[in-house]
Amino acid sequence: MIAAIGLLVGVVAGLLLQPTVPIWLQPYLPIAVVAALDAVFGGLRALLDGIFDDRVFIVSFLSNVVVAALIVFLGDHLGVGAQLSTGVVVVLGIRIFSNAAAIRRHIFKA
Amino acid sequence: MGWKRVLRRIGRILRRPRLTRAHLLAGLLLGLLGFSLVVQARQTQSEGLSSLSQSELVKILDTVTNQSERLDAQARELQQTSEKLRSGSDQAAAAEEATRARLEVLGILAGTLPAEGPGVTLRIDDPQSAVDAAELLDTVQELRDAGAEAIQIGSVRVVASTSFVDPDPGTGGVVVDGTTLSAPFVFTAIGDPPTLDTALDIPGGVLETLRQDGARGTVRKVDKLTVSAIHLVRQPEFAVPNTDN
Repeated sequence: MIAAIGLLVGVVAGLLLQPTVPIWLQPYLPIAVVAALDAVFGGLRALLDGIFDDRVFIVSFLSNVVVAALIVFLGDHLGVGAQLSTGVVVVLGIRIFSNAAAIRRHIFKA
Repeated sequence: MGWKRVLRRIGRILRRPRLTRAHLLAGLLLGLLGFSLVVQARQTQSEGLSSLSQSELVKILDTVTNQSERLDAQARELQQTSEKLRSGSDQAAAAEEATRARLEVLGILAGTLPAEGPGVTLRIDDPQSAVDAAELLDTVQELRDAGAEAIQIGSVRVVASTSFVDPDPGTGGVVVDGTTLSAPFVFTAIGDPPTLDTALDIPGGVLETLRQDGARGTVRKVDKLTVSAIHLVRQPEFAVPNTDN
């Protein structure tokens, strides 16, 4: 409940404030958002599995974001930023798809 | 698990909001997620090129350069076509103009167009019916020699093929191009008036001959007269233009 409200508040705030992303954050924000989405889908799946845990969610959320940003940071400094970003997005995308598939099985039994 | 169980579980969670610190933190994190999601989406929409990597920018630059070269070539081609069409239409207009001018000249020469200009009128009174076809032809020749450009006798336009025939004896007048004309014969000739006048009046010329025959010719110089009779041209039946040379 609180999570849903938080999400809504965040979206509304983003729409209303319309801030610009600071330059230093620009390479990391997209990847961080995807990583956070992965964590959210994982949490949703755990919720439906009945094994949701606040602490696990928070830790996975934060670690996902940090690791994703770190990988991009490292990639940028190693000269393979674009490729690593693509790799991270692909991996997270696969995870999001598998989590979405699990959620789908819960809801539609298919 | 199915629909109902899912809804039940979600409903249970929604009904019992446990206000633990972890819950609040999760809400905060999700709020952050939504915020950055929206911000990033907006940023991506608005900024365009500045977020792209160097290789992507180079690729885009190449594409744009190629496209601009292609468009340049196309523009050149179209410009050439336009110039070609424009000069073509100019030439066509000039040719049409020249053709029209030529048509008018030829029309006056062939007698198919009415003509006007300075010239003389020659009236031949012939009380004794002494004037014959030969005399009229002589008069026409004299006028032509003096540079007459369009000649009319009575209502007949004089052209290259005009014939002068004496009618059967007893009937007066002269048959010109099938039309019987009788005195007084009125010539209308367009040309330089003094020259025409002089040509008719030379010793042993047309007027003197007429006088000897008992007829009387009167020349009048006119600044502007009209040769309105038209010679109908018959379409050649056998002759066609020779285009070999």
